Formats: sequence, C-alpha cells, structure tokens
Amino acid sequence: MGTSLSAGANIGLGDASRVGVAIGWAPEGLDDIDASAFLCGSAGKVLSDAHFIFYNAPRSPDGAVQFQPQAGSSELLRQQFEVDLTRVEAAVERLELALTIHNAQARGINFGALQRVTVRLLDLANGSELAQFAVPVGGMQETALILAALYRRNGQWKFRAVGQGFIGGLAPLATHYGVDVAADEPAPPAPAPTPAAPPPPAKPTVNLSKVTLEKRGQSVSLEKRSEAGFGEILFNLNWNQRPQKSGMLAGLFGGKQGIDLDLGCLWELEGGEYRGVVQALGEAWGEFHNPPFIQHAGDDRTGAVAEGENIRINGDRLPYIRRILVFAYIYAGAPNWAAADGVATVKLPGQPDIEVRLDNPVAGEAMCAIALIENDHGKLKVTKEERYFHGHREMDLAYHWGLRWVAGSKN
Amino acid sequence: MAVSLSKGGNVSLSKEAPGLTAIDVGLGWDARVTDGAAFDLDASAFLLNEGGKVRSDADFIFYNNKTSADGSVVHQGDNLSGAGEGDDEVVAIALDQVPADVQKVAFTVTIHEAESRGQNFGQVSNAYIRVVNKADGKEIARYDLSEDYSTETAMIFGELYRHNSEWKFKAIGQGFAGGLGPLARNYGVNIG
Repeated sequence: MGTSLSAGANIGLGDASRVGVAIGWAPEGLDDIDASAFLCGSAGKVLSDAHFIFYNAPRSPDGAVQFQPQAGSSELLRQQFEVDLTRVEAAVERLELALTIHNAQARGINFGALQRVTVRLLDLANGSELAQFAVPVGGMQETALILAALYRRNGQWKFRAVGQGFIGGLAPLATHYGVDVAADEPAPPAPAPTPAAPPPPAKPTVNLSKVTLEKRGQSVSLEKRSEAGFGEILFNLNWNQRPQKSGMLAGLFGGKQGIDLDLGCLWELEGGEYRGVVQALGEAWGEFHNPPFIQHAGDDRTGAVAEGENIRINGDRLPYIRRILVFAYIYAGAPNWAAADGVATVKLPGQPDIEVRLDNPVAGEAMCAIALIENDHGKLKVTKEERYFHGHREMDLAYHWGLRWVAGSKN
Repeated sequence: MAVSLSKGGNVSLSKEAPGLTAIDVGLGWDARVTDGAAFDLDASAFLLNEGGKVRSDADFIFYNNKTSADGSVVHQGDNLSGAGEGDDEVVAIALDQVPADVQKVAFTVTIHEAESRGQNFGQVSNAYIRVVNKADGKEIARYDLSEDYSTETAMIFGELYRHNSEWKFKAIGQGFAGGLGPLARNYGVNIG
C-alpha cells in the first residue's frame, strides 16, 4: 500500500513516468458520478476547451492523458486516468482531477451522501500503489470535488491530495478552470423569430450534457438543430476488451485474448422494401453519402473516433431513414456480456450524448440488440433495447425485419 | 538571489545580506476559490530576551497588537482571506530601533482556526513566507508553505538575532502543533 495522504499533503513521483489515478467510491448504488481532468497552464486555467478531459472527450490533445470511465467496478476502482508524464505537453503545468455528481442539485444529493471516495496513485510500470487519499466526504455539501492534482515543481512531477470543491457542481468547477460550458438544461423554446440581424454565432462551448437511457424501452427524441439535419451521428460501442484474468494460467492460455465483439446494425429506409445489414461479417460496411447512409468505421483508426467500434450515420439523410437497430454480436468465444461491460454512446453534434449501458446482461446469448434509432416524424428517436438473442435470425424475427440469413464467417 | 528553503532548512544568512538595517517579513497566499471557510493565515512576531522569552505580553506582535511599545516592529494589517496581489501580510522591523535588551525576534505563521476548519498549509494555494531586505527590496529567504509544510498548521519561520554588532537571520522552518496560542505560550506570553 502506498503513502496515505491527508487533504493538502503532497508527494514527489520519483522515477514514475506512467501513472494511473484510480478513483473509486461507495456505495455502488449512487450512480452517475463522473471524473474529469483539467489540464492547466501556469495561470491555473485550461489551455483550451480541448484540455478538459471528461466522458465526452476522454483523451487529451497530446494523447498523454486517457480517461477510462469504465475502468472497474470495485469501490477502489471505478474510473481511471492514465497519464504518460513524459508526453504531457510542456505548457501543461497541472492536471487537476475532479469528481462530480451529475445533476446533483436537482436530485438533492451531494458528496456527503457517499460513504467513501478513494483516490489512488498507481505506478503503471509495475502496478504498485504510490499513494492513497481517502477523501473526507463526511458531511460535505459539495457536488463537484477537486480530488487531487498532478503538477510540475522544480522540474519534477508531484501529486497533491486536494479534496475541495463546489456546492454548485460541474458548472462552477469548469468555470473556475476557464472552460466555457453549455447550460446543462435545454434552453427554453426560442421566441418567434424577428426580422432583425442574425445573432452572432455562438461561442463554441463544451457540452456537459449527457442522457442515460436506463431502462429497456426508455427513449429520447431529439430535434434537429440546423436546416441541414442532424449532421454526423456517431454510434460508439465501448467494452472491456481485456476481461479480468481468471487464474495464473490465463496469461499463458488465452489471457491476452480479448472479447471479440462486433458492432453492426439492421437498417430500413423509407418507402418499403429497402432493408439490409451493416456489419464486419461479410464486409457489409455500408456507405455514408449514399444509401443506406450508414457506414461501419471498420478498422479506420484515424484517432478522430473514440475507442471501441463505431458506426457513422448520416443524420442529414434522416428523412430517408425509417429505422436502424444497432446490435453487438460476440463472434467468438463464450458470450460473456457481464465481462464485456459494454456501454454504447450516441454522439450528435451540438446535442447531449446518449448513453446506453448493457447492464442487464444475459450470458449464453451471442446477440444483443442495443438500441433502436427511428425517424419519429422528423425527430431522431433513440430507444434502449438491450434484448439478447441467440443470433441474427432470432433478432430479425423479433423485430420483423424480414431479411434472409445464411451462415457466414469473418475473414 | 533569494534562498529558497525546504523543510528543515536551517541556514545562517548573514552573507546573503550583510549590514541589514530594516526588513519586511511578508506572508502571502491565494484566496480560496472553492466553497468552504476562507483560509486566514496570520503572521506574528515575538521580541525575545536572552532567555528566549518575551519581556512582557506587549512583545507579542500580532493582529490584535500591531505595534511594539518602542515602534520598531509594526504589523501592517491582518488580511483575513488572502485576497489581493503580493504579500498579504507584512511585519516591518526597523533594526536600528529595536531595544538593546531584545536579543532576537522570532517570526511565525499560523492558520486561524485551523483545527475547527480542518485546514493545513497544503490546502492553501501558493502560501509562502519570506524575508525581504528593505534597503533594496531583495528577498533573503523564503519558505513555500503549500509545498514543504503542507500538513502543518503553524510554523516558526525564522529568527532575527544579534551577532556582535550586526543582525543575522536564521531560517528555522519548524512546524508547531496547536496554533498561535501554544506558540505564544512557548515564548512566555500569558494567553487568556
């Protein structure tokens, strides 16, 4: 066990060059707690909005900081930052690490409702714990907490336990670091347009909003924000690609073999009998600018896409689209959805992210219908499905898609 | 060049600034931006005799007793939050006016109500205490409290003392449990 730090205490990092900051809390039931990091210059402000690392932006511009929102499920590790200190750009003086309770004031909760919040500093070279900070959350009214900071001091990196925060949540926290944040709540309907000069373009802001579809059948409908349409809709599936080793031999026999999970979708366009599938199997990659206006990102690792697998949907062509059923299929190996711990995120420009967690896994079934995306009279409707099936055919039947299925194999 | 001292530093600085006639002891920190009780740091000075004790309670110079009886040591005011630029509190000493039976002057920094507010120096941003030669404005010695004294709530910064015909400054940098009251008692002040 590493050095136990009290709030305010600091330690030098010595030779450690790749560190993890593991964040955990208890009890488990209190959900929707999010870590974030602010990469600040000497003035204590973020270098740019892109230097605010959180669930919608899990990677720093220099690639040195990676946020893992699904790092674990124990009270000592739920979310983690991995920091390669040798790659942090020179202008970054401090990485301030925070924890916030989403929408806390509306829900009437604060950090005092938690029993424990623990921050651990790990040396990723050997997995050892350098320091541990039990955040004194008892009686805290804050809903956003600065947990700790990694900072440069006389050419060395140090780590400080902080444990101070803001009652008002993520917005005052972000403002403190100079991040421009969008309002968390949707804006009221705009008054009837007047023939006055067009308003100046809004300053780009970081979108803190997030919508989680928690229950099967729960849905959200989004209005388009511009005349053109919804822009590019990204459907991302992220999962735990390296499940816990199950024994000492796991490292020798298949321990490095991850879960092979394929993302795909069934699609149906307006006007009848125009249906199909987009998936890696059979190399049915789809097309973005032509029907079906859906494309599998495949092995396109441009860095522009988030981790995991991605499907791009041309939201400007929504009028041609009737419905899309996004699914994940465990191609090989035992279909262990619990170990995969998948989370799907629908990202739309200028809209809150929509999150669908696969949190009711059914072991033994290889197919999971994750979410249904529908054109609901011009609105984009996303519904959580999370229904498990034996395979493509059974799912197709359940949703009355009407495709003919033959066995295939992936190259 | 200023000498930056780390914890346990104990350095005689007569060579850094020979012939000192007047100094300022400056204490600075950043106002709290997070929610919660303000950080209120206090600089104090004790005029001490040969035995290391105050001659009377009036030799304890702090926020409620800002000027020594002879006028040689002046506390320039209590900053309650750290708001503002530069040094937030300054204790000025005219060395040539210090009475002959004062052998040394000790300087301390404490956090007001540290215990009830659950605070220490490490929770305060950019807290430091320094001594500046008034003749040229140069910093002679400095401790960064937020870094090197992060888990302390009270600290003896240093001592100014007579050596032959001149004054020297000795950095001490020793944490002290309990805050200003026990510190003052330690120097022989009768605390009510």
